Amino acid sequence: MTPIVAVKIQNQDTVPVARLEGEIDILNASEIGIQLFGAAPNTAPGLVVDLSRTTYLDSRGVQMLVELAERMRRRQQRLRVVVPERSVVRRVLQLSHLDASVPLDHTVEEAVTHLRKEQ
Amino acid sequence: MTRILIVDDDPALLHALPEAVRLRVDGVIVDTADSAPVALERIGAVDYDAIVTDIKMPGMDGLALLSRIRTIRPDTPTLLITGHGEHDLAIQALRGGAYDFIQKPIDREYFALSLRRAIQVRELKRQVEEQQRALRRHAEELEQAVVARTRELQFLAEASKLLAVWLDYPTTLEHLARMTVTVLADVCVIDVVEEDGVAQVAVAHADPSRQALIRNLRRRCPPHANESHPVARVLRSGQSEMDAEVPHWLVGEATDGEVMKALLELGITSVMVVPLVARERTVGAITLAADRPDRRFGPRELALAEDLARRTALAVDNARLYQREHRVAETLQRSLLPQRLPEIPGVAVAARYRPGQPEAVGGDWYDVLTLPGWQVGLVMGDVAGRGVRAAAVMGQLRNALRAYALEGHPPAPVAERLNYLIDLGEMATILYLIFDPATWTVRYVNAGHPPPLVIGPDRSTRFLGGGAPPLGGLLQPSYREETATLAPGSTIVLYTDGLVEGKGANVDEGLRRLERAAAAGPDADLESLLDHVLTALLRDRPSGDDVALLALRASPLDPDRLELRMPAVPFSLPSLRHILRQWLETAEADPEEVYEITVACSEACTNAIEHAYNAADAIIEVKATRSGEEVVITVRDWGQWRPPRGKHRGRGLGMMQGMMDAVEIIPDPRGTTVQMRRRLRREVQR
Repeated sequence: MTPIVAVKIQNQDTVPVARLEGEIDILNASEIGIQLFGAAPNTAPGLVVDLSRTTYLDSRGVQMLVELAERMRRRQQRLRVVVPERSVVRRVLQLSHLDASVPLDHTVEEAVTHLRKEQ
Repeated sequence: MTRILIVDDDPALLHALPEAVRLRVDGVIVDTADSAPVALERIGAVDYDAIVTDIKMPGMDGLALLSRIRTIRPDTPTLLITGHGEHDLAIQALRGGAYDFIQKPIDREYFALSLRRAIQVRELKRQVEEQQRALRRHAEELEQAVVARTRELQFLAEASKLLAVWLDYPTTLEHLARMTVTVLADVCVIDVVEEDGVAQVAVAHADPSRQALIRNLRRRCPPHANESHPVARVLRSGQSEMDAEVPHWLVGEATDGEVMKALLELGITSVMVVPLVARERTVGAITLAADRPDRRFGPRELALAEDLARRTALAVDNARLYQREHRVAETLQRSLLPQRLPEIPGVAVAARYRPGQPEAVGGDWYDVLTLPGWQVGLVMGDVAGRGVRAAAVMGQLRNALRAYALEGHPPAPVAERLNYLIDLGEMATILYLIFDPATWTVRYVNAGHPPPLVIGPDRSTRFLGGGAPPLGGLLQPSYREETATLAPGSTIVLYTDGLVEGKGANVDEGLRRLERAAAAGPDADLESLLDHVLTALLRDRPSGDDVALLALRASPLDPDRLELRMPAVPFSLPSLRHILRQWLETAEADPEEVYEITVACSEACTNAIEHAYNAADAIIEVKATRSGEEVVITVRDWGQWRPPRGKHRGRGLGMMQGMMDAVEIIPDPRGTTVQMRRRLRREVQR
């Protein structure tokens, strides 16, 4: 089946940035979680997950992000999630209080800067 | 013993002549008569070897008597006694058929000589006649034998003809039994044990009114119930059994009075049972019985029955081999047709498959694919040829097409790839069409297949044109994608050429008939439309070819109401969201509302899928209605919700509550209904 989401990973100044394009739901959430966890090598300070091109995200996606953040924390790494101010996805993240455990940024640059600073 | 008659009215001569004869002719009995009437009486009673009569007698004379003798005993030589010098009379006598004449005074030596010669001639004549009769008899017997043998050969030829056009077990065996009773026996029972152990029985009686008696008898003592049943014995031994006189084993079986009565009523006098042996295996037996005293089975009848059995066994064996191959092809082909069409939210699909000749499986197939983004792939294909080979090629193409299509290849590259894939010498036509319900557009490639038919919402019809060579037709054909935009509410019909081609009909006429039938067909649902089309096109023209039909219709969205049914699997969700978004936009929700209501609905469905079900073919029903500015989403399933488990599992419900104004979960004994409401802002904005 053609995936409903594409995961694109690029490094920006030693910080891996994973851009999720498409829809994340029960169909693919756990698989993406595994893929994202593998995207941040031990040497990296953490991972930026960019949701600015994510067209759909629900509680399964939130759950995946929370679990990913926990696993990374155990590895002394940080997860930052990028979600633009006017993104429809933002409301889902707020409702599920993701921002309580995972810091949200408006842009990738912002997130990368934060991660490098914390290093 | 030689016996002659002497007729004379002269008592002296009548006394003297016999004496003279007895002295000169050995072992002769001489009768006498003194008048023609007395003589005639004797001649009527005894076939004399010779008759001697005087010409001159009172009343009926010798010549008159001669003429009567010639009539009643034409072979008996008659000698006439004439007076001296009565030459005229003598000549008259010879002309009248006398053997000789004796002149008076009688020369006794000459008389005796003539008489002996007459008797000899008569004897020789008799012998010749006897031989001729024997010859005639022999010829007649020979002729009868030829007639009988011819009839037997004709019967065997007829039987072979019947067996060659093997229809099915019951029909062929019934016919054979019926044919046999008119020629070979009065009763015929044919048993065949099929490979799966099922026994087939055909029963016939020369007198159809007594058929029920035989049937009854068979029901009362079936061979499998009794080891000593003749049929059971022959099935075991593979050897013929014959009882030309008393069918003691039949009587021996008569364990109850009813059976005995039936046997007596049938009055069977002679029975034989011959095995059906094919490739050293006994596959059945033919029982033949006679109920007429003049019909006794002998070696000839047994040989004929065994000949019949050999032919029958061969046909049974062929039929089995054929059936086996047919079953393989059929199973293969059926397993390649979708067991169930996918349920695609908002899109109705229906299909029909009608096999043509039952004896040869064709290579027609159809497929329906759910493609990403609420798109539907329709496939119709037809592999040239029949049987296992065609079914196997069809399987390869079908699976390859699925794989390419699901990888997201558009129609033309799919056709090109299939063309590389198809083996040299194989040929197939395919139509691959992608329908996008959101835009009402189709993209397709047609490789040698009849054109798809589109029925508009106004019942107008048109064919989607554009064709390319069939797969396997050219080494490097180029396939071009065709596109068309349909009026919302249109119906697409795909079919194989068996629907429009058939015997004696040209394709254009077939296409026109299809258009007419489709335009006149019931509008209400696709299933009845397809039934109507099938009946209309194949009614008076039973197609020899297989026919596959596939139809798709998407309803235009009703801004007040949306109803969807889909399998309770995660894969349903992307399509559900796609169509729900479309509907919410039609219902004038703003982008944020569209997103949030979609999330709530998707969450409810995810819960239903994850918590409510284990069953493989479970269904979820989603209803969305809009009245005024309120949107109500109802998600119904037929399972039981479990309490949320794990730290994050409760998140879904929280999400629903956060996105909607009100969320209500209503469990009932049969399942769970989630009802969610949300007031749209659009009224305020206006």
